[in-house]
Amino acid sequence: MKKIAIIGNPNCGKTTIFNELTGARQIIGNWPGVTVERKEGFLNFENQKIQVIDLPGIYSLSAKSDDEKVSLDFILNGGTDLFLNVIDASNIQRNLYLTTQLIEMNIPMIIVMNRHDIAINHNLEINTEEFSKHLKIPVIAINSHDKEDVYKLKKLISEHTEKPDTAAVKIDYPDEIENIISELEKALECGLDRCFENKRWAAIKLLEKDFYALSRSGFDQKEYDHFQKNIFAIEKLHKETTDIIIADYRFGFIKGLYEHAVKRKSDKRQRTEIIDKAALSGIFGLPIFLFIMYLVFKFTIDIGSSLISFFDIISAAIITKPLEMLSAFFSFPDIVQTILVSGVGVGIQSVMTFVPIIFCMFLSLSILEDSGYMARAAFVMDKFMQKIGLPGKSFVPMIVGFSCSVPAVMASRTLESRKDRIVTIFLIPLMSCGARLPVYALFAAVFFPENAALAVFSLYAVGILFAVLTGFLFKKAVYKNEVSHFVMELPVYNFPRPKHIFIHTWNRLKVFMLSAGKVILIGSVILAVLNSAGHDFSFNKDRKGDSLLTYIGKKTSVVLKPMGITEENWPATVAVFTGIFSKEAVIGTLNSLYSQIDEAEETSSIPEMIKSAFASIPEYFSQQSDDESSALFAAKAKFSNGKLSVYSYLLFILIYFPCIATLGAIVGEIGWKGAALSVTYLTMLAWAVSSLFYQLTAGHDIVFITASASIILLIITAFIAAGKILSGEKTNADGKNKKLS
Amino acid sequence: MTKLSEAQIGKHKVVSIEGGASVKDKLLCQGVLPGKEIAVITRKNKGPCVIEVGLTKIIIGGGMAEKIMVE
Ligand SMILES: Nc1nc2c(ncn2[C@@H]2O[C@H](COP(=O)(O)OP(=O)(O)O)[C@@H](O)[C@H]2O)c(=O)[nH]1
Ligand SMILES: [Mg+2]
Repeated sequence: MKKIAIIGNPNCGKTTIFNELTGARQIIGNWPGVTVERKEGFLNFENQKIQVIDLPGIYSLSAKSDDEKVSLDFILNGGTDLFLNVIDASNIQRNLYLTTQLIEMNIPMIIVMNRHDIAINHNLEINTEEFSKHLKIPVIAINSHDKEDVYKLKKLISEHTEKPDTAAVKIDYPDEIENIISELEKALECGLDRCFENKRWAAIKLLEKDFYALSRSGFDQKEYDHFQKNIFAIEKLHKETTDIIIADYRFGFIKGLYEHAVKRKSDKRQRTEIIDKAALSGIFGLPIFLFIMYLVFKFTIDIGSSLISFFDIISAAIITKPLEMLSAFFSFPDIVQTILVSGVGVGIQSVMTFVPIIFCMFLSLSILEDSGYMARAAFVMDKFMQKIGLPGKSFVPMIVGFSCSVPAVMASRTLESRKDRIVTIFLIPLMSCGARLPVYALFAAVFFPENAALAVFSLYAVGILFAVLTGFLFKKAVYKNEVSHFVMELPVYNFPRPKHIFIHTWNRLKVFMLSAGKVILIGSVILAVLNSAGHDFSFNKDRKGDSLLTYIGKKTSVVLKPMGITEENWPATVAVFTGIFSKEAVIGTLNSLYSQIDEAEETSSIPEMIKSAFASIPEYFSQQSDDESSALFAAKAKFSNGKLSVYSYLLFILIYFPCIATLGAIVGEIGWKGAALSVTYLTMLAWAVSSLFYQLTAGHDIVFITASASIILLIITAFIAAGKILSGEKTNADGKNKKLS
Repeated sequence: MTKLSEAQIGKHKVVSIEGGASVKDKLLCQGVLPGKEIAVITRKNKGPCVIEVGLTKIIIGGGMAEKIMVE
């Protein structure tokens, strides 16, 4: 089968074209070793089936970022029959910079000038034939939202994958540079068995000091040293480094070509300009941003949450219930029933309950991204976020964290640098998610009836405070020398396109269900087994109260002692364990353990369940359930030293181990190692902070105070050590580069 | 000559880009190189700014704007 790949700048419409070529059936994965998304699909056109790959958006091929490295490796690995170089027709000059690099690699290609409609709107007249004549490859201008244009593109592709053209044009550099290039080419000729035959390209890469590309083309240290002198001489003559001279000449080439082939009548980009006057202004910028974020929330909470029960009951009806009936019918042993029903069934059910929230959240984020507003938000928040060493863009995932940490962690994908992704993911769980709100609210209503709102608010504030402190710690200790540099195009506003937004949202949802779903399922099976095993390891699927889980809870309640939790208050410890499953379970656990009310057995049939699923949607909007709080009053007496102990318990719930679903998402984004570090950090911090709070206000036990203070010191030391190790690795890498340069 | 992070709204010419290879590279491919004319559209106090290069507007983050010298 023939294989084509789409390459181009971010935001020029690659994914739109990819979707148009392949339809919704796509394979989403990651490129090996990096968290750069890989999309693959198939183009069916007149009995021809062609494999299509969507490469990440890049501005140049210099292997400085993961995205660029992935693309460069992809090209160098060969095997691609045709590259579609997508160019934003409303911004040809900047986009052609990447094209000049592709041309120098002598690869088979077609240029697709996309967003032609916008270019026409800007009164640009693009002469594609002129481009084609100069570059000796096919050039087509399209509007990828237009069916006819897409058909023309498919036809062009199918004609050219068989016998593709390679750009046959040479970009000229000043004489001194050309001299070095030809010397280098000669040197390379006697260097023999290199993996890449394009000597001119390798020579230019050397002048650009692009060491990764050089190592891929078999260049070595000695050769570089040999030319160091000549390069120095040129740099002295031009008073500029060779990489800048090369970039300058490429832009010169582009300018010549552009003036030949594009005519511009007059400019009218009014709409964008007018909106930006407000959206970027010092006065209105922030309020507008906050208002839009409020809308995102409102939409997610109102629509998303109203569907949670629906998804819960429906998935219980079509998955858990049949599994239950199946195991009863074959009378499987209790352990199998537990794993199947309470583990796998309930696990899938809990993955399903996340679907509406995640869907709504990604839907709104996709709309913001597609419309072009996201870039403005990044600008508005940049100054504030810079204070904790993050770019403005990372504010969005953090805000999302207030509704649910899972989509928030996944939204961190939109950040470019790995460092920014890691720090953001570390901070997200400190934003109190929607599931923690009922816990705060119910506890506050029972224990702090006169100041309930203040108590809840203070917990949110404490979370944010620790997020800011964590950010500082990262900035000051770990990534000392890595400032977040961000340069980003400010795209023209666009009317969001439903089809592509839905494909995008659906892809995200699929990724969540597969990667986070796996972890949730494993966790749910483990908890189910612990919950129905006795401490003599006998199994009873309907066990209540005396399970291994309760046993562990009782035995470990000593850990919560510094928070004023006594041993007879062991349900509070069990609730901490079930809270790992999902935060709102804290309340449910305390309720059932304290009230000893066995939950009513669900005996309804599948059709009845489906009916009640539909009924749950209007119910959500019409009634508030508060029956759960009653049993909490029973717990009231058990929290010794009342309020202070409860507050420190709530502090613990705020900070400690995020729920398994979040853990799943974190693993998906930064791997097991990073995820382990993050949950260890959070749990240690939670223990130290809440113990310190209780001991300073009520307990006054010097041992516990010392212990929690030392844990905080330990955390800080660990951060500093991590910084040392990282900068050690860095200087090593730099050292290697230095040796080359 | 001033830093871009302190430059007035309006037209300027890029003089030099300080900072490491990755900073330089990110700017190069956006067409921000020494000698280029740029226009500052909006700028936050000592911080990030929006500039126009050719036909495109780009956002330059606060840290980055300090590395660009203009006149
Ligand atoms: N007006 C117009 N907008 C387009 C066209 N192609 C893509 N877009 C929009 O450009 C934006 C970026 O598209 P996307 O495919 O995500 O770009 P990518 O980053 O290159 O994958 C989206 O808002 C699209 O709706 C086009 O031909 N005309
Ligand atoms: Mg894309």
